[in-house]
Amino acid sequence: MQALQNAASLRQQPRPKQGISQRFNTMFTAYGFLLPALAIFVTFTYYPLLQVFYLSFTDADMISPPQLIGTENYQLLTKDPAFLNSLKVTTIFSLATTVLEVILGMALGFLMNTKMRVQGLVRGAVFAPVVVSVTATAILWLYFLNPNVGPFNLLLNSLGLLAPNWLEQTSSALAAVILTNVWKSVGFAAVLYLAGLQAIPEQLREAAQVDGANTWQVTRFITIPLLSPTTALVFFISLVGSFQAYGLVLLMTRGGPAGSTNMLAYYLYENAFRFFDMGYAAAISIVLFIVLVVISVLQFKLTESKVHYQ
Amino acid sequence: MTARANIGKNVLGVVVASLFLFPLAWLLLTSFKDAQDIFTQPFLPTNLRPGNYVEAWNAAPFGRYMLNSLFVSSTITFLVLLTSCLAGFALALRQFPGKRIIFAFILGTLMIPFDVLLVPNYVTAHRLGLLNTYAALIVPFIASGFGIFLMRQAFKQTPVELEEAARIDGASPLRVLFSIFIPVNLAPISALAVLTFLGAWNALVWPLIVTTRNEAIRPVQVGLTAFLSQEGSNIPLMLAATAIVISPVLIIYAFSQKWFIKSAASSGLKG
Repeated sequence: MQALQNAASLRQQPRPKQGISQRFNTMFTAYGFLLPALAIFVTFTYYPLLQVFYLSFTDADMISPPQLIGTENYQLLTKDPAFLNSLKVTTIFSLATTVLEVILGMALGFLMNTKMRVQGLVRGAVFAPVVVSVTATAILWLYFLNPNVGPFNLLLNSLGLLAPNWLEQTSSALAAVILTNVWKSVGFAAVLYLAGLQAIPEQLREAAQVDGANTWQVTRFITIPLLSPTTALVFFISLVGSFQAYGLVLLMTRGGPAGSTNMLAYYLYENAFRFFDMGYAAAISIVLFIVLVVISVLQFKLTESKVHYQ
Repeated sequence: MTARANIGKNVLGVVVASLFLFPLAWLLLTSFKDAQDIFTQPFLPTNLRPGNYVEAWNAAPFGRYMLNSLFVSSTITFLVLLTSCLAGFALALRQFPGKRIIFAFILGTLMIPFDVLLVPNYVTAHRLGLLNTYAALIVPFIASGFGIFLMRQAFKQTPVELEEAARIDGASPLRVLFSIFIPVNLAPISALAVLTFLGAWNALVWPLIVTTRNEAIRPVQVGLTAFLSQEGSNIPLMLAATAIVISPVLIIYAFSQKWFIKSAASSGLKG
């Protein structure tokens, strides 16, 4: 196509008056239009990416000028039990969140797509927590799960049972934060599934029904496979989003108790802005960045090979 | 469809909707409880105490916080729309050297989350003297890789004849963009606007670290976080403050739910 166009334009030469000056003009207009965005990306995305790499080899602390200290930060990381624990916590948190959001998101997407009297209510209710801020969500759930004032705990108390302190037990704190995060963000996954379902042509399902397939078979062998691009998207968005959900940890548990909710991104934040150990935090940023790049590449490969596109 | 299956669907729908709304309803009801009810009544208060709201409103400058958030989020939204439309227009309709590289450069920003860059961006903001100013809250966010991508897709699907007709009439590229391409693409633009505004209004970590020394410019989420560390033990007061903070967004959402949901769905568009 490109070659054909090139050939056509060659044959047309010499062109009518649309001369060099006008072509320069369009070119400069294009660069001018792109400039504001590019300036921001250079200053706040690409330059910082180089800088964080550099800082990870220094002892930067925001007080004295950073000194190069070689790979010391990385060596410390390999021996830091809190860091190694945060890798474990992040893995559990991310996998649990992602799996729950894919499964529940799909189920809720089907429900949102079902014709019924309360359809508007279902859509509005499931998506409502998405518009609530992380801060408000964290505070709400902090008290909702509180053993002295939370509704379920008060019910347990009134039955004479001892209410567990969900956020202050190492056995349940991480699960409680995962539950909070899923409540907040599964509506987004559900809406993506709803859009995916609405994009599937009705004839495909009808054709299968004419061939004698029941509802379950249509769902299992037609609808869900056709939703695979949405599933890939939800999987990726949930996984990447889970690494950024540390605002909840910051307000609900501060990484505790005993490090049981200390996610990688929270550990980064804590080192940088509570201990002002910027060099060490930069090294953690690099680890986080590598993890995210690996996920992106895997996702890309997986999407290319496995996903069924219409 | 049998009547029974129909009732079943609706019952399931109501149950699921209640599960999601229950924590919000509990927040609202508990914010009206007195110091006694809070420890004894799981759900309904025995007497309503709207005084919690007055007390919370007076205990911290929430009005000021909200105005700060409104200013910061509106400015970010307006500038994101502007930079996205300009860049999207250039990428969709112009040929120029380096276009592919620039496009890859823009898409690359989608792979680099801001959280990975907290440390160097804090250092940059410090060096540029932006800490504890509105600029620190706004400038890093006025361009969006996603926004540019969305607008490029929209402009690519806009009939080229529209541009050609305008150009014959002698309109400049800026006029073509503002008087033709933007007006016919209000749907994706409003989707980008609602997502950008919501993201800016709800942002926490960066605003928290760049406003530590200037309470007057704090956005509302930071104000609420500071309130938690002061008043965390006064639960009804804390929940009233939380209700104050989320009510503007939830009220707007209640009236334009479809618009929010459509906007979110459009963020999953395939390239």
